[in-house]
Amino acid sequence: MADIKSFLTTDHRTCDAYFSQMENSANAGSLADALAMYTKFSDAIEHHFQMEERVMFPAFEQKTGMTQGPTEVMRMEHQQLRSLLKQLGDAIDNDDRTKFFGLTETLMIMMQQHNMKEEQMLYTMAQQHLSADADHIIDMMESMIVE
Amino acid sequence: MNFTGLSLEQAPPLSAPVRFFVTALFFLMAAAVVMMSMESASVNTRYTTEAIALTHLFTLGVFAFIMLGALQQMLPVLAGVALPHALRIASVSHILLSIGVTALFFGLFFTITWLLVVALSTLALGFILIFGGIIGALIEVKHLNTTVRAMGIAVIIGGAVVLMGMQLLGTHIAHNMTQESYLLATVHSVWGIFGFAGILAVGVSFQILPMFYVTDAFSKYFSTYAIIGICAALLAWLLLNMEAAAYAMAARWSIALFFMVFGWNVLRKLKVRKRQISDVTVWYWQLSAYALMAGVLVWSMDVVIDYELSLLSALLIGGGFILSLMSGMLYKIIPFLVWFHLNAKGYMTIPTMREMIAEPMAEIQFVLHVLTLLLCIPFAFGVDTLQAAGAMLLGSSAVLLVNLLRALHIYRTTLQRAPDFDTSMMTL
Repeated sequence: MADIKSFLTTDHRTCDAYFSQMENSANAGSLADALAMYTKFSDAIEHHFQMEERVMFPAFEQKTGMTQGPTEVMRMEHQQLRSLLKQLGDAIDNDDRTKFFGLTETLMIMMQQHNMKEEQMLYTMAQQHLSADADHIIDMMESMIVE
Repeated sequence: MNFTGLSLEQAPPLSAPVRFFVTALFFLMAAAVVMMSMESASVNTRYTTEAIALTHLFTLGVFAFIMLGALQQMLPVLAGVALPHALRIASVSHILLSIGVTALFFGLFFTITWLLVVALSTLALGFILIFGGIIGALIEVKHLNTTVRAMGIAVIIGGAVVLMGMQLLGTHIAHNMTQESYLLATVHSVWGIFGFAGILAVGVSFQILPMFYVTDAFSKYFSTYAIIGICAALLAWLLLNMEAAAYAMAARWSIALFFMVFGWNVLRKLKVRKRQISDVTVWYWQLSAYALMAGVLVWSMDVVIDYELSLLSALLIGGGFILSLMSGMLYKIIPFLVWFHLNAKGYMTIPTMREMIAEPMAEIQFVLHVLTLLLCIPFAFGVDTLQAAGAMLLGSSAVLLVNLLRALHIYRTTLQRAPDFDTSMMTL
């Protein structure tokens, strides 16, 4: 049976890997070299956010009736991460290395704290409440097109 | 299910953990000054009251304070629970413990009995309050993971260590020290270092290393059994010391082995980490792993080669492992907390973590820290380098404090301008 928790957790690890590759290429060369990986990373993370915000969170909220609970906090943290990602893009455009590496540091910790809360609490709960529909929900997340 | 820990609003106020961190650095500077003013001879056996006073300035004033600050901060993130009445517990226990550490130091150093009575009561109350709060929060945790379990075990062992300390201090005040008191003192120190600080460090690193440096996770096998193994070895070591002291070295070697494997794991994971970028905090992790391995090796040898090596192992483990790890973590935690709290208050354009602490200043501080450790090693062999090590430590701790205060200064100055975004309009 499909498992929402491991599906989304695996996607976190993919985003982490893109993040490291982006940072490593900036570290080894110029910020312009990191641009391609930045695009890949920010696309992957936006895709991940939308899988949650448009598919998993609404399903969870509908099933549990909790609309002001953990999903709301996660949505707010997504907004914070989006803002950091945008600033990171600006730092690449302006070729500002100090800003870039300062932002990756902040982004990294913010992202990991966020992942930890999701993986250890929200996904575990989602898996418990949504296990009957897990296959369907994962299908919808996979086939979703980023807006 | 308790969600409060998930909320940004429920993270403890910045001042709750920070007061513990900053005070710890003042105690560190005080300890450095004491080292500079002391005769070497009064420190190189661990049973002079001066040596005990100095040791507790480090273990209680520096290590316990930093660990308590870090625990308050980590509970919401790693365990999803917040300390109940976070700010009240933090401020009251901080005051009690600060008085306690100071009174204990002066009471022991200058043999002032009433100060020791003050220390006994304030330390007891302070620890009951904060450990009680932490345990109260941990009981709420529904999804236990190895790190949260390690935090709970460390706090329980910490409580036992405090109780033993109370008993010892009471006996000392009553001039009633017996042969058993020396065994109790040994258990108190070994459990404090390996059971409280050691288990906490191991448990937290399971989360922190993958989180900050994108290393591979520790194997499930290791992360489950390491903590249990260390606890079992510590318990076996205690029982053997009481009943069959001749065999206690087997338990000692087991404890050493667990930490050896842990240190080796840290080094290997950092070496093949996906995030290649390196900074002072990575150096600190590596230094602390090397020092830990060297420290437990020395500690396990001293029963074999019949040479008093406990001072060397204490310096390697206390200064080399614990202090290095904590310094490195402070460089990550404080700038992040500043960023995090400003962001939660609606400030979006904030200096980044790297802009808060200048990397060259952190590098200079790291070098001073290494020099301090290098100066401590000959001291363990009877060479009179205590004052020089103290002077170097004073420099290193002062630069560390300045580096961290710079980040906190940014917090204060940023708050003076209007936020970019009004969070009061948002309802959680």
